[in-house]
Amino acid sequence: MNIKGTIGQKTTERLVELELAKEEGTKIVGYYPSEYMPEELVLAAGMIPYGLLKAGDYTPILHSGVVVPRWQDTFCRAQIGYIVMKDPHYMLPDLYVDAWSHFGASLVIDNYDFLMPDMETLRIEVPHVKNEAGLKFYIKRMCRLKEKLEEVSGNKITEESLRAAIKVCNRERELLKEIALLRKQERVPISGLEFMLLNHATYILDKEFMNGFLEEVLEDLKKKKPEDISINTPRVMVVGAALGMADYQVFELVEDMGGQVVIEQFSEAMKDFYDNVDIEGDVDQLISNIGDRYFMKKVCNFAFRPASERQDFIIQLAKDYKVQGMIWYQQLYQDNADFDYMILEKKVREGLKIPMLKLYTEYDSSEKAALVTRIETFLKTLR
Amino acid sequence: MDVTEFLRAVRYTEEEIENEKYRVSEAFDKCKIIDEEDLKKAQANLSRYLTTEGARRAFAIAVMRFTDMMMAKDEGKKLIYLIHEEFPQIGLTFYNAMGRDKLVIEIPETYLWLLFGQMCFDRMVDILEAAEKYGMEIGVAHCPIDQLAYGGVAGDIIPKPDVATSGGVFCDQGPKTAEIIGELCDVPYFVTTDACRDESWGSFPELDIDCIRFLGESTEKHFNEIGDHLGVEVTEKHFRKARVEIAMLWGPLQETLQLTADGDPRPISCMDEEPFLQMTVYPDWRTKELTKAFRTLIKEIKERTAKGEGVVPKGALRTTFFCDPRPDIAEMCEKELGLNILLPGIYWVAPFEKTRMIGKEENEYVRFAEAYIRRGIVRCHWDHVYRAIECTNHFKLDGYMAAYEYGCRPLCFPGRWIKDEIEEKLGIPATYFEESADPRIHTPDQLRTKIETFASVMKIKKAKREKQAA
Repeated sequence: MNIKGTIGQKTTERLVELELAKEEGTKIVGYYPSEYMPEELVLAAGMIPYGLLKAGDYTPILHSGVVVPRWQDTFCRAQIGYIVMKDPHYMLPDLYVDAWSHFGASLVIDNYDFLMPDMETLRIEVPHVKNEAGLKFYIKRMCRLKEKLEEVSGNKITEESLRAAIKVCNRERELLKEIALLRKQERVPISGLEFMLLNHATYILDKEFMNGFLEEVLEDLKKKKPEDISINTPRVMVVGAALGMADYQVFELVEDMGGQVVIEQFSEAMKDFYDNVDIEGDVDQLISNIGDRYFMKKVCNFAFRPASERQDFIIQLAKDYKVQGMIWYQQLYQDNADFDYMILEKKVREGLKIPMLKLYTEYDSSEKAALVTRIETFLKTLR
Repeated sequence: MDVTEFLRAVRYTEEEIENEKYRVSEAFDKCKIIDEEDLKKAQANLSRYLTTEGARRAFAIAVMRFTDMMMAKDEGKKLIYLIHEEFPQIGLTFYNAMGRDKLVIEIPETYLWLLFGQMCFDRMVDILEAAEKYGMEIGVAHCPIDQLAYGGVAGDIIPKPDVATSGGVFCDQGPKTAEIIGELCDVPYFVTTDACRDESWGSFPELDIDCIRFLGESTEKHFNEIGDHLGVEVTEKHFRKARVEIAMLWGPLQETLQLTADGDPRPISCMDEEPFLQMTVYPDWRTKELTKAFRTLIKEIKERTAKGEGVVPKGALRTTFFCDPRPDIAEMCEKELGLNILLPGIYWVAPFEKTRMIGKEENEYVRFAEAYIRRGIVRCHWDHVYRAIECTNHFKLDGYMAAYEYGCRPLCFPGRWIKDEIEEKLGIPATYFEESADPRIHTPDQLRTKIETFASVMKIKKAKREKQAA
């Protein structure tokens, strides 16, 4: 199955589809891909969730310099740069929702408010400590989000519409998880790059199409004969703060050089698929269930205090997927993530005892030569 | 190491010198990066940058606190670090609950900033490099304050604490620094205080009741966790007393800021204010000592104003740095460019204009949360902008320099918005640029062209305003 081709074609068509949907009165909800903005509520309001997560290009970084200092997380600066550039994807939403957990991400919505005062926005600051007080605050914000969505869409979120939306999103997560689990095998039937393409597509493509396509992909992967799948080594894990759409250079380089990215963990701009939302209860209970899944069950963001749950989760994934080497891929000036790296590096060195490579990116193509050398050397040390 | 002359330079009394000199000497020996040459250099630097006796005495308090911190463990006390702590009420609350015999609670980066910065030993780079050596890479633009705290502990320049804690209300990085000190240096740490500021853009000074309660509740939980760890019960009474003690310092601070702003020519250097600014935001139990030093400073300001003495020419252009300027930058602005640099930044308390949302029936922590958030410049970019406009009006500035510390995420962002809003709403010129306490980041001359040009703009606009008014 040509995953890259299909996804490429659908994402190209998506902007036009959404413009047409808007003309027909459907509202688009753009959001920062922090993994704390539940698409379930957007779908339940009859709106279209649209993750804004383009990255990997230096041009918006340059444009962001007009409004923010340079030493801000590269991914966030890219988002701001696209707003400054009036990129059509970033101009599309009727409402922009930013559920952030660190300063850089809050700047994205600040810049929507500053540069596009007519855009409807909703801010949610995600608490930084996983406890009852944090959960209570987050659930209150989910109620505020529900109200805002109802106001902008003119549609009431009902128990039925919310439960149906949860089922759709649960199914999407289940499918991503099932595909991810196949990567535990010695013969990995899907490349890391293909998996990330699928993962990122779930932010932007129509849910019905996406779930259907993920089912097809899963069936296809299951049918693959072992002898048709090569064993690529070393098995590499890629981790970091955010992996924007099109920021695939590490995946491409590792896999072009014969390695295999078998698992990845990014707090932002990577759809988390490990836990589902409980579908029992009335609307209030379902919103609580959403809070429980997104704030408590899901592994915490790198900006949480502490972020040890995430570090331990990464180490467990590395064990489960028999990872031989870990690449920490970090956006330049992402200081929160740098703290996370410092602690993870110690845990990996002392507990997991596998090599770890730290890479920075500013999405500048001039980085490529250095990345090639460093990744090539790293893979050699693993072989 | 004979510290006598150094202690005289920071205005220890002769009695204090006699009683403390061996202890101070031992404290400096322990940090390993100070020798006799540094002591001499410090005396020269203090003379270069400070113009008042009050400021020197404030440095004496900094040395006393540094000594207590360095000697705490040898003297059988528990040592607690409040890393990049935004509300030092934690420290005074625990002093109130446990007394001063059993523990020392400090905000280490305050002394590392003051004593090891350019105004005194000028050895800050050693500590910053220690942080870099142990993992805080220079290329990531980490906040120098956090680097000082981590570099101090990881580089064995200051003692490893028994507990590290941080609030993370103003900035994300304090708790993260406490976390790396905890995880990498094997220190118990508590980072429970939490704040979310997600009011809509432009809404400040309206506040969100959920944000207030959340900060109040998490603060109470944080205090209780530390109390449990130390085996002490912390009550609202202890916290209330700490708030009152700290409020007693903010009175003279506001008076100092206002007297300095009113004096023409500016009577003291902005560097004379610096130790007071730092130690009012980050005080310890020596609040009465600090108040006394404030009184000395205020007396000097009044005397100089009465005599018409000043450090810049009469009628000098009035502007501000948002963050505290590095001493050599401040010196360039005052002595070479003749600018009157006012430093209200985060230290100025604007008159409260709104009725409080939280009543007296609520607990102390929630009441505190409202007062804290209402002050502004707390985890919200719009409130920076709002306070910058107020500050420009209140201090009758000729221009606003939103100069932010290199690596300081919460203070750097609003620069562009501050510029646009002040210029549009007040017709006063504004600019924004980065500066740094880290002398490796830039030299004064690298900022000179920006500041000189801005001074010219201020002069032209001021002349136009005066002409229009006439």
